[in-house]
Amino acid sequence: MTRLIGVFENNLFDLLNLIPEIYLLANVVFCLMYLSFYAGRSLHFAYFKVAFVFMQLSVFSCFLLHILNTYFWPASTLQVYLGGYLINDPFSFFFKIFISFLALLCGFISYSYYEGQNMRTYEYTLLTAFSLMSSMLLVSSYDLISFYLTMELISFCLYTLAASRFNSVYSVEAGIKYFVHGCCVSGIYVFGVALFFLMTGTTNYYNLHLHLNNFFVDLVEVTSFAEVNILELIFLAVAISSTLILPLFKIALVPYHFWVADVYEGSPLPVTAYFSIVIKVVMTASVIRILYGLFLSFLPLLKYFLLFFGLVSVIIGTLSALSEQKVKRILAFSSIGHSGYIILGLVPMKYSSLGASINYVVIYAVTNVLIFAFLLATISLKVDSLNRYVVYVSDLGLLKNTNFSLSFCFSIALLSFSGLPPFAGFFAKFYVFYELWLAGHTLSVVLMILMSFVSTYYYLRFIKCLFFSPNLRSAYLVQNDIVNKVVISLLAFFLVFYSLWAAQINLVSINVGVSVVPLHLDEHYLQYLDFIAEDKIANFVHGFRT
Amino acid sequence: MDLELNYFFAYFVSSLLISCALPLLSFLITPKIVTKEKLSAYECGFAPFGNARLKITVHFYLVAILFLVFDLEVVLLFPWCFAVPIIKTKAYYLMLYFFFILVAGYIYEWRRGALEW
Repeated sequence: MTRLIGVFENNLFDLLNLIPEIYLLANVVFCLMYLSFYAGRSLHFAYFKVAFVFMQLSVFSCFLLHILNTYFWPASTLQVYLGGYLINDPFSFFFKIFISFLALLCGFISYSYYEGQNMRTYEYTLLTAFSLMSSMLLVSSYDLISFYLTMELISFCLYTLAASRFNSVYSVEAGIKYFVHGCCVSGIYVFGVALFFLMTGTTNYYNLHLHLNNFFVDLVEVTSFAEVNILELIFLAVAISSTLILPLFKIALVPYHFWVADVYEGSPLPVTAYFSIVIKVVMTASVIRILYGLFLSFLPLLKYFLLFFGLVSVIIGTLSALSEQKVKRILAFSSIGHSGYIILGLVPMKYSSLGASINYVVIYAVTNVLIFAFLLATISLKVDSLNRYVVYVSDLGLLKNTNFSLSFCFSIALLSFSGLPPFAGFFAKFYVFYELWLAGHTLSVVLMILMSFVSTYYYLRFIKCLFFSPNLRSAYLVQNDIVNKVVISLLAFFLVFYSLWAAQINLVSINVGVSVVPLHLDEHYLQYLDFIAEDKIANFVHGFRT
Repeated sequence: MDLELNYFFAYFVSSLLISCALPLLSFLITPKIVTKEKLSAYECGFAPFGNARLKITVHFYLVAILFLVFDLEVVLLFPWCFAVPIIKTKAYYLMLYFFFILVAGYIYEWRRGALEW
């Protein structure tokens, strides 16, 4: 086996790959310095506005820089840099561009909230930009250590953001809860990394992948039980499971889902939006990278766990949301269900199913932007009420009378979430179900279809409130904010006419998924995995690679 | 005996002597005037006994955490010392960059009024 990237060299040109992230970090530090000298201890909304505009501009230029970086990327080689800590491949480029775009949208839709609540702490946007920078690094991390460091950098920002409305008990509870659980899980992860280092002497994904591959091939070829090194096997099982816990915790798959509802409910609305739009995408990318870039050779064993976790999270996410009345909690439980669907796309171990999973993430994030743009734009007409934003589902009663087009767009997003045919969500679910069907998991496909029927119930409850039930509490109206209106209508257009671009978007996501899988799979290995052999896309993939 | 062990032995004995001598000297030399205030338990800034559910100003925690942050950079400096001969000037610039960000954080907390009591 030839080692393409076994030895990593240090040179100064490595940093050219990092220009967008360095640029964003420099902007954050500059803005922090400027505001701390200019504003000092003053808590005026104008300073928040300065920070907001500056950060939106720098995130936008970071987005452009990523596109430039992708354009000048030499496609012939894998770009592993900073001593093998980070990698730039189509996967990381795609997710970097996508999350910077989503963060931009996230900032735009939440400005009216900041203005309405008269936000006084300008650190808010700076923390968001900082966690965005570290999530870009997380997407391209190619080493267990850099994965850990960037994950912690994101998490510290998120703990602070979740507790940022410090006069609310719920918000503080959300921050502390997320912090305590996150700390425990990080500790377990570091233990797994230490075990890996003990066994193999490396933490780099590619080198570790080679070690695991050899180990798996040896394990398959074993003829008698006496040949198996039991201690090594136990070490490996513990190491793999404890390393996987951290990303699975962050995307809220079911055994690790307990924090989601409280954190989503407690944190302020823009932060909830940031959690469920940007962070969800980033964490899913990290799960895909760690499963397909590192544990690829053990996927034939791991996929049964993934199938179980995915099915259970679809079931629990759907059934728990049925009895909830609060909008944020319903969205939190539905996000658990959706992460279940995403994980189920990773089960069949094919490029096309990986593409289906990435496709699902993209559509999920876009639909979520629409939903949160709606929630952030809709406020109560009562000026004196404590919480002017929508809390309960019943608050939305008869919104069609005050704003018909808005409630129409919102119902499109909800129907897309529930997976009804003309909308984008249908295609996302369809690809995943189809891949699972082809892989022979017929029973789980039937179960998932039933569950998505059940989930239609609580999405339809929103629509029932919007159009048919009389309003009991107070009248709600959309804020006169042009940005939210534009975002909502454009995304609704995208969701309705998704089928026009469905093939292209699916193809792009398959190509993105292909680049995660390590380049050199020797024949010996393929024999046991038949990862590509039966795949019709293999030819296309080969064309993409060379 | 090995040279390294010699050094270690000298260091060990001298540190033992000094650590024994300091409390002994302070015990022998200092004036002993016993007052009530001196004998009672000492805590910085607030009464040592009383209700456990006392309201404590958040500044204590703030100062402690800020101290921790600026103290922990030493942990990064020790391995850096060993890495300098290997990666030479790049290590110097990396540490300079790190300190730049650290100083930026310090200026921020200073201007934001976290250090004012």
